[in-house]
Amino acid sequence: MEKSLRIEKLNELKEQQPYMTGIRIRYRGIDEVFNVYQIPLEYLIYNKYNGRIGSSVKSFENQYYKLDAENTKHKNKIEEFLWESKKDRNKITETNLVENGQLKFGLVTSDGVIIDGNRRALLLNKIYSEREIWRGKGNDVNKCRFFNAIILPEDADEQEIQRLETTFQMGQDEKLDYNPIEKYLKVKDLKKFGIADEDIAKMMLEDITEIKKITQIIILMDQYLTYLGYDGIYTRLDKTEGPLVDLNAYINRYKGSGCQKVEWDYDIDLDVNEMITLCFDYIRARYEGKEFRLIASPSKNSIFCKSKELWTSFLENHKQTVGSIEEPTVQEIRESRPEEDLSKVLKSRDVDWTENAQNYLKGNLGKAESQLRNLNDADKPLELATRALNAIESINTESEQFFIDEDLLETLCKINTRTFEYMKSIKKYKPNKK
Amino acid sequence: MTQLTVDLDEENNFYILSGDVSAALTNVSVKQFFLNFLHASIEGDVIKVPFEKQEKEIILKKIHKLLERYSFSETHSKYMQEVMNEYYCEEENFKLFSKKAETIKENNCEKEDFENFSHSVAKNLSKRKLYPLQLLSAYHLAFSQNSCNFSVPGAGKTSIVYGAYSYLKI
Repeated sequence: MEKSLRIEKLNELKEQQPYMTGIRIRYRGIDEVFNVYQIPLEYLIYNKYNGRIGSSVKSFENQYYKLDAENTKHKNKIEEFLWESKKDRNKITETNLVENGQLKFGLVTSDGVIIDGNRRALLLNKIYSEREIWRGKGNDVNKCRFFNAIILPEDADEQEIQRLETTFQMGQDEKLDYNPIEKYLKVKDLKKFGIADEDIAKMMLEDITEIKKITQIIILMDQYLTYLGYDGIYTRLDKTEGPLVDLNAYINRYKGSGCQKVEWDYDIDLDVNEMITLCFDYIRARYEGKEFRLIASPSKNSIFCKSKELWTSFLENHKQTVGSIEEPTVQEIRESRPEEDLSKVLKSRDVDWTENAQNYLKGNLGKAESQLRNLNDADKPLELATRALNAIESINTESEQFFIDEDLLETLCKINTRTFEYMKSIKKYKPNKK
Repeated sequence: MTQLTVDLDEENNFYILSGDVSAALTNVSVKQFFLNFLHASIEGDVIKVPFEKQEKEIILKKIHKLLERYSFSETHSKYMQEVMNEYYCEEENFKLFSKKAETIKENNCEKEDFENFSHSVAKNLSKRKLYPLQLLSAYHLAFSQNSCNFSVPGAGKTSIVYGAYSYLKI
């Protein structure tokens, strides 16, 4: 149904008896009383940028074309995203709607765009289209032809619609339902509409500092996607929220006037940039938690903070090993598999890359971790010496490698020289007698 | 060696880098720095780095720092050299100045100049006699104009400051 016709039909509906009256919602800054109407589903269209499916729709649009909720084919795609967004929950709600009808009213604009209740509307549509099956099971689903909702006045501008959508969609009780990335996209969208951080905080029931943090994180998320050549494919942010939140916190600590936890004179631009780029690779391989923090958390237990030599050698090893991995470009992949869903293709590109990089990533991190442990134990000489002795004693002197490795003799010479120097200085040492 | 030329579009507030742009951008860290730290746009064979009027020099310094870190050869357009002449002179002078300060710190200073300094201190700070290393430290302080002294207690930091002051005030 076209926009003008939808407006006409909804206006006609408003002249009729409402389904519920006296519903208070905050509209344009004041509490206003609205009525709920029973709206035939064909008068309504989905909101494609609904906070629940924003990342999927944006990723899809970046690959193919802009979705038009009025177009039947596009509508099916939006319905697919809505269904997939929370399959298990949808099945439960579906049964609930069949048994009890729509208990929670929705919210639609004067031209029939569903602001709140897209998922419920999808399920009502689905149930009604399958009414014969339900009838066979002894359920009368005629009530599912309608969507009960408040119809907003025609003067509702884009900002107000965004505000209402966010308030309803991201209200405290609903938050858990959402894919974690959606909240970041929501803030990005709201800021595009020129809504101030303070107002966004109120809509999302968050602190203003949290909104500022979310803003920084979505910028970092965009940078991460650009780094991989995945601009706008937000579905590739799956399972990256944790480390990206951590990385953002590190950047904040290291930028500005510098961080005292770092035990060397790092450059707040160039070295922090190198750190971010390296972290992006570990995030791509889905490192998180303790292992991820080991790279650059602002503490003495991180490779970045401990020493310039440690960090530089870790970084150089990373560049030489992980940096040399070859893979098809996104453009090449797009051309070779044009029919496939880009999100899935890129996921398999990441999986392939991780498979090739895993040994290097793990090996470099393990080596640096062991060096870090040694540096942290620098004042425990016996412990370090025992560790070194144990390592040397573990060498299999009967293996062929023991005799043919060209670097082994050189390394053993270095060990010999160093231990000799240490022994000499220990013997020379005369404690100060006070 | 990768070579980049830095030019200035003063009307639109951009630094424009041209030359071996694609070679430079094969380094992922360089590319990331241009995009995320300098908010640059890559347009074909050139990189455009925007700047606000008040941070014109800061951004140039960042570009310079980047090119130096990754050993890129940096040249400047004629126009750029004219406009930024003062900045480059200051940069060059600072380099020379830092180098000289370092030679003093390493006790490798110009003998004659140091003797003049020592005479001046002896004459103008007659009630205190500075030890040789205190004198060198005072000379370094007087020359550097900005410096920090974290010597242990009793090393003579006060005398060093007096020495530099007595020389500079005349």
